[in-house]
Amino acid sequence: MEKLLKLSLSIIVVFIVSSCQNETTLNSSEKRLLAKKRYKKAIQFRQGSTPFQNGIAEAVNIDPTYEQAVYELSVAHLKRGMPHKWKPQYDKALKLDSVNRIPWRGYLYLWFYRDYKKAIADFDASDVLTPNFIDAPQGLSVDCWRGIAYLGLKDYKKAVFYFDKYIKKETKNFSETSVDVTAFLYQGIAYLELKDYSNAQTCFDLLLKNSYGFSADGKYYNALILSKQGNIKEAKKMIDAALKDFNDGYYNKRPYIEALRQLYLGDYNNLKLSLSKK
Amino acid sequence: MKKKKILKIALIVTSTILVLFAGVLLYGYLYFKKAYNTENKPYKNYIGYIDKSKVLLNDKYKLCNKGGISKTYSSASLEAYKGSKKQFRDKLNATFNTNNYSESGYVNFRFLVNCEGNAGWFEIIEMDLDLKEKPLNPKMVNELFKFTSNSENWNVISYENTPQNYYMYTSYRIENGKVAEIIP
Repeated sequence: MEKLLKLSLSIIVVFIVSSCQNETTLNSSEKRLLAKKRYKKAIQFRQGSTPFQNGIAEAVNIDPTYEQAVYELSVAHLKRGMPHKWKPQYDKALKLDSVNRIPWRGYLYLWFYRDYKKAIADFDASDVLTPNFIDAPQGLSVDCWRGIAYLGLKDYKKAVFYFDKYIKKETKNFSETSVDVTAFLYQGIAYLELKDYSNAQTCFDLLLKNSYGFSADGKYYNALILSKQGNIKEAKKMIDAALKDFNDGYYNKRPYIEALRQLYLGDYNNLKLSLSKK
Repeated sequence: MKKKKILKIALIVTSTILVLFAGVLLYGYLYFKKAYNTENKPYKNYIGYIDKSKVLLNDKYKLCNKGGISKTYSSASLEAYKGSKKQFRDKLNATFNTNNYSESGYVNFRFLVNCEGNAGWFEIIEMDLDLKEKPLNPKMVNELFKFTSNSENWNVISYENTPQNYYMYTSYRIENGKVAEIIP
């Protein structure tokens, strides 16, 4: 009985001591574990809300090297149009994991700030950081992102080059169906700008083939090419089909921000009107 | 006798369930109360919150529906532009881009649009192309402000047929005095 009492008291003392253990006495893996726990709790709340931000800030206080948490504090600023607050926080995450955060920043520069030069510089830097590996921020090769950035810069030859690189590698390693269809769309637009209508049409046909035949953008540009080739009758049919796809929601778009070269109802109607006059 | 016993058991079970349910509710209430308590915390408001007492055009219009604001997760984005973003861009290109400014940078406007489609409560952020805060040509910024705050540019956005107040931001990337990009 006496032994049992001693054992119970010992257990209680150990429990009290361990529960009172200060964060500063924890070793790095214990700190990370605790920070992860706090982070997990915080991300149950809406991104950017006070419990979300404050909870993650607590996780960062526990372990300032916990990159995921440091990065997450920046995201809501990015989405809500506050770059002056996003950048300093993102830079802190970048210092902790430049290998992943440099190509990722390139992706953010490309879409959220439309800074094509900075985006390309980051994608190029990622090639140096990981020479044996092609990075894929947001799950897509930097070669494809670089193609889009060069399209934004109006450097159409380089855009075609990087789309080619991406499409060939993807097709060789996997199959044509695993190519992101926007690569076909944007490569087609780059060819169109270079007035290479034959290659442009091939791209738009590939876009349609790999989109189960539904793509307002693909059909719009095919109608444009047909019109340039003088085939007005087919162009009119094509623009009607494009309008149907557009109204059904099959068009190029992105979450949060406008897609590059995004087309609107007015673009379709303008082409339709110009074709009706021919 | 048997009936009494069954009734007793049922009463105990019901009270236990009720106590447990009340406990869960109380726990949830306290959990959320603690989580949303910002005392001694670095973030006092949600990210993107607009302090209506400190912003421009804060007394011209009224917010509807007790001041609730939708689209605060990112912004109303393309849904907000009246007609389409193409129309917004075409209109801006026809006016602003004909001026002779030479500066480069970003001008961001964060604002609210009320249930009648009136834009107000504007915060302006001026930055260089490295996204560092830097004052830009006031005349240029003011011209963009006038354009952006024109309520004719903004849609009424409804949820379940009820018009809402909503959050919006517009970022102009200016290269050599011309608007090169409009975000979002």
